[in-house]
This record gives sequence, structure tokens and C-alpha cells, in this order.
Amino acid sequence: MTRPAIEVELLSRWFGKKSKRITALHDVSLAVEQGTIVALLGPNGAGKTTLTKILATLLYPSSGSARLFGHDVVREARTCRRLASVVFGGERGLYPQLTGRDNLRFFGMLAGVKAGEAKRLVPELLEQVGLAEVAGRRVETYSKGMKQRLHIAIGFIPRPRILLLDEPTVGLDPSEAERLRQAVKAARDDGVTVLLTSHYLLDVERLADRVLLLDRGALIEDRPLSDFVLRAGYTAEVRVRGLGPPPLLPVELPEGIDLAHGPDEVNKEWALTLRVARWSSDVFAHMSTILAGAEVIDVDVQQVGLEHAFAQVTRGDI
Amino acid sequence: MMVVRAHPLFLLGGVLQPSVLLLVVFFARGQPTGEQAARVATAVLLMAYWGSTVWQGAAILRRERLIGTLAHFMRGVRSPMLVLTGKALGASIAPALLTSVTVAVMMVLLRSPISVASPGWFVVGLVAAVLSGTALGTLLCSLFLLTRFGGQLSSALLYPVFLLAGLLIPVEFFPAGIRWLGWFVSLRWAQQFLVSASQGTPDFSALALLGLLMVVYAVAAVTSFRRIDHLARVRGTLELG
Ligand SMILES: Nc1ncnc2c1ncn2[C@@H]1O[C@H](COP(=O)(O)OP(=O)(O)OP(=O)(O)O)[C@@H](O)[C@H]1O
Ligand SMILES: [Mg+2]
Repeated sequence: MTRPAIEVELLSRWFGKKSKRITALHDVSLAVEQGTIVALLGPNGAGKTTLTKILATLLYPSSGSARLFGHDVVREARTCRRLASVVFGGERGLYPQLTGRDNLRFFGMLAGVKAGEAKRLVPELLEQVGLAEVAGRRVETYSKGMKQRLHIAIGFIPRPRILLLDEPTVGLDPSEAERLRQAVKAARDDGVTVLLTSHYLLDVERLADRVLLLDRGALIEDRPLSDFVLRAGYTAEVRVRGLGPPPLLPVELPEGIDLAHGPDEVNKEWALTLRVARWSSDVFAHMSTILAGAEVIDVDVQQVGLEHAFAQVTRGDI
Repeated sequence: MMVVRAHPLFLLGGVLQPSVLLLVVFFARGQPTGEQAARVATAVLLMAYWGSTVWQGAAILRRERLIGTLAHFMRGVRSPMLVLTGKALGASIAPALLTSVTVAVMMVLLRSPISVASPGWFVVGLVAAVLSGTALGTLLCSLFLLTRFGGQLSSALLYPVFLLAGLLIPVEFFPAGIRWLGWFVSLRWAQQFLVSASQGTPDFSALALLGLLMVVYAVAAVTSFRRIDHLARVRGTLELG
């Protein structure tokens, strides 16, 4: 057995003096296997950034421990810094008066990238994040998204084995966000372990193998993505619209199908929403029975997003 | 280092300021004689150098914090202290050269070229002044970051330091009660050594004090940098990332 990429044991972190102590993390324990993408979710102030910073050696734990490939983030900070890169979302953290290329070179140097290697990596990475054309411009002239992409290139340049991403898609347009997701996936396929914090559930849905949910400093969920989605209780919502009289629904709907809304009638049109617990050929058969005789004009199927699951978990519905 | 780019301010500190200072002295006091000229030239040289670079260098960390690059700095694989020293040194060498050239040219133009009797020791003195300036720059850097009033403190302190070093008015004019403070300003010893070297009688005790103070600054810089590290990682009060 190789050591997990990230191991956290009974980790706590508090801020401030005893009288008004703020607990940001409370007895968090987890382990992340190499080559997986783990999403760290939770409402504002849950402790996500605090955990990321501790793993990035920017903050000491108050108690408990954290290790990267077996190296303690406090005692072996330097080794840990070589192993992991951290990317914080936002527009700060760059030298505004230097060009994008010089920023990347300088931060690469800080992260221990050798000059020769940097020569090769810098243009490659600038190309990869789509900044090749503006690389010679000062960063102060960059848009939000360009700065964000530069941050990402900086995170990638030391070829880390662990990537700590704190809201990396903030400020990116949808196509750029998708490009980043591809880059993260590619890194994972190369064996890089990723801890991803994001409020964009799309990032999480597309990328994560596993979901961790923090709430007020405590780890309240830790499960595979598919499992987490199942927590919502259903996999899809089917919205049906039709003309004329709405279908007469049986009192007891068939197993695996629930009525979420409706039928509502407006101007000779009706609409209803059904929830499907799990797809199967029976579901289609049941649906055609339910809708028999009605004039259907539109069917819209929506897979349940993490939003639903997330909302339910944080509302304490489970 | 590439982070320190040619900047209009750089010309202001390296060319304009020393020129103006020299002109003022020459118009106010008339043509100085041998040692006086050396005194004036070194005072102007050191003041311009300190004002434009040591104090600029002292702002490095504060600037890093302002633009949010401190996190990169603190978690670099290379020692942050070393990178900081490199930056401070890089920030001071080019302006030091520029200022020296300006002062030399001005002295010739003002028909008062300083003849340096011990050029070798004079160069040693200049190098020592740059090194001790760098050490002080890194120390101030950390100190200014530790206090919220770094900016104000930095501008408030500059001229008192010049005064205490005896660069503006001879230290004998100060009350004895505060004169001793000048001992801790390496500028004072730098000037003393440079003047003595130009007269062909290098004052080695001044050079020794200059070196000693440099070590003191460096040790204090390392200590205060540790404190920053502590604040950042233990208390979490420094905004990182
Ligand atoms: N340096 C600090 N001093 C005092 N309290 C802090 C400090 N840093 C974080 N906290 C507190 O710790 C808690 C967790 O903060 P953290 O930034 O980790 O949350 P988060 O999950 O990243 O939130 P968000 O989604 O808003 O980014 C918050 O209550 C915050 O106020
Ligand atoms: Mg956060």
C-alpha cells in the first residue's frame, strides 16, 4: 500500500483568544488516494479555505495533523511545498506591473523550477491556458479571467503531485471554465491528486470523484459523487407539458415515480413534474400509462444536480 | 532582478535628487575645500542612495502584502529570507551605481572633483555601504510589515535617520542625550570611512563598526522575519492568499 496523497487526522484550527475563539475546523479526519479529484463543499465560512491553507503550509493546525504523501505539513513544510501547489481564486496575488510571462517565470523560480526547465514550460503553459497572445502585456491590463488563468498556470508550473484549488473557476467565462476543467482532468489522468473547492456545482459534478462536505468546521459528509447525488432521493426530474385536459393521475403512482408538481393548468395548457428515483425501462412504461390519452407537447428531462443534494444535506433533510 | 524595473522614480532618486542637493550645498556654502568636498559628496551620495533604495527596499514586503503575493513568497521552495535579500540587493545595486556616477559628474561640473587618495578602500567602503543598506532594507521590510503604520513610519523616520547620521548637520549640534542614537545608524560610519579613505587615511574602526552594524541588522532582520512567519502561520493575522 502506498501512502495516501492527503491524510488529515483530527485536525482542528481555531483563531483568536480564548474568550472569543472562532473555530474554523473541528476534528476533521480524511484521506485522499493519489490520482483522485476530491471536491470540498460547504457554505461560506465552513472552513474550506482554512483547510486548504493548512495543507498548503500557509497556516499551522491548532491541533491534529496533516500529511502529504506521509510528510507532515508542519515539520516537513519544505517537502510539502514541493509536493503541492495552491491556487486561490481572485484578482490579487500577481505583480501588476510585470508581464504575464515574467510573473509566471518569477513564481516558477520561487517554486523551485530551474531556469532551463522554465524556458520550456513557460511558453507551453501560457499556450495551455490561452494566454500566449497576451503574455507580453502587463498584468494590470488583464481581465479578471486572464488573471485567473495566469494563477492557474502558476499553480501548474512546478508540476505538483497535489493541486489545491480554492475556487479556481471564479471569474472564468463558461468556455474558459470548461477549459480549466479539462486541464484538471488531464492532470488527474497524469496521477495528480486534486482538492477542489468550488461554489460552482458544475465544476464538482464534472470533475469530482468524491465529495467532502464541511459545515461549521466539521466534516459532515464524505462519499463518492454518485452516492452523494443519490442522497437527493431521485436521479431526474421530468417536466411534461400538454394541451387540453390534463391526464388523470392514479391515486397511487407506480413504484419509483413521484409527483413533484402539478398538474397545473394555464390557458388550456397543463404542466406537471415527475421525479424518477432510478431509470429503467419500467419507468417509460409507467409514464406512458400515466400520460395515456393526454396530448403531450413537450417533455423535459433534468438530471438531478449536486445543487439539490447539497441543498438537502445542508438543510438537514437527510 | 526583473521585478525591479527601470522606473521614473529611479531617475528621480539617482540623478535629480543628488544633483539638486549638491547644487544647494554649493550655492549656500560656496566652493568647499578638500575634505569638505569629500564630506559633501559622500553625504549626498549616501542620502540619495538611502532615500531611493534602502527605503524602497524596506517597502518590498508591504507591497507584496498589498498586492497579495505574500503567500507565494512565504511558501516558496526557496528561503523567503534569501529571496527578500536578493530583491533588496537587486533593488539597490543599479541605483547605487547611478547615484555614484551622478555625484562624480556633478563634482566635476562644479569644479570640485574629489580626489580619492585610497581608491581601493573607497570602493570597499562603497560595497560595505551597499551591503549594510541591504541588510537594513530587509530588517525595515519585516518591521514595517509587522506594524500597521509601516508606511507612515517609513516616511517619518527617513530624515531623523539622516540627521542622526550627521549627514545634514554635524552630530555635535545634537544634545548629548540623543547623540548616541547615531551610533546605530550605519550611514554614519559609512560616511566616516568614505571620507577618511578619500583623504588617504582610512578609518578602520569606522569600517569595523559598519561591518558590525551590518551583522546586527542582519540578525535582527532574521529575527523579525521569524516573527512574521509566526504571525502568518500561527495567528493567521497576515493575509496570505
Ligand atoms: N485569520 C483569521 N482570523 C480569524 N478568523 C478567521 C481567520 N481565517 C478564517 N477565519 C474564520 O474561520 C472560519 C472559516 O473560514 P474559511 O475562510 O475557511 O471559510 P470558507 O469555507 O473558505 O468560506 P468561503 O466559502 O466564504 O470562502 C470563518 O468563520 C472565518 O471567519
Ligand atoms: Mg474560502
